[in-house]
Amino acid sequence: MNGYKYGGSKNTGSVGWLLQRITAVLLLLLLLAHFVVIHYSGTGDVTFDIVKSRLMHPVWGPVWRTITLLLLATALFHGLNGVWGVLLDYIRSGALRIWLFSLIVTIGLVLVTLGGITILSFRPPPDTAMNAETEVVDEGGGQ
Amino acid sequence: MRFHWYTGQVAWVLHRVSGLAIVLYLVLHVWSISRLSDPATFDAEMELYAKPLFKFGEVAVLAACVFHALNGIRILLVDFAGGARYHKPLFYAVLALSVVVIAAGAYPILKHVFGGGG
Repeated sequence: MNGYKYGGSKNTGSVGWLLQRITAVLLLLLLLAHFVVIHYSGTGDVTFDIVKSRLMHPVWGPVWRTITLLLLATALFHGLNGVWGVLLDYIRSGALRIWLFSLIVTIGLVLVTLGGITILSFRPPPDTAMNAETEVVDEGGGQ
Repeated sequence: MRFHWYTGQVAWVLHRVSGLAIVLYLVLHVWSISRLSDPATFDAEMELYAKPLFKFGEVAVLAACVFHALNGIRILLVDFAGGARYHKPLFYAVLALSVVVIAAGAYPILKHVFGGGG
């Protein structure tokens, strides 16, 4: 019994199957928002200043950061869970499966951390042209 | 005995290949966007991505995403809405709709490549 699963595991894969479908529905919405807002609004150009205006917006900034964080986590889960499903189709060795599962989890954790830092720690450096100009004006006004 | 491609098989292979391609892109994308920590490096990289080769790459990513998303909806219909009975016409609808959406999405991307001024 259960020879197709490592060590007679009780895991039938149904939770992963259902989560793949739940994240699919979420991705339809999140990715559509991602495409429309970033690539199909305005000129469609991506520059640091455009990203800055979106992420630093007083009202929509935090909303956009939250949406992007959700997209990051959902996309990584769906993508890596998908890769895991593909691997299970071709890899028979239990030891190799454990090794590859660890690798996939590690890649997921590294990327969610890297992406999370990118989104959450984003702030324009104080020496950008706009801020420098503001400082000069402020100094002038104070004298 | 002759090998024969069935509709469901073709859909399954295309879904798998497009999915793996998108995961590969996702890894590179998250890593690449982390350049946001430095404005000059980020803009230099975005300028590189504005080159024609990368614009065609963008269209490829769009095509993979659009097909994967539409065929994903087909899978959801088959799994949860009795779509197994009409999965073949659904797949043809997915293909037709993919062509339309990809063409519409590729136009503004490639306009810059062929427009010269962009």
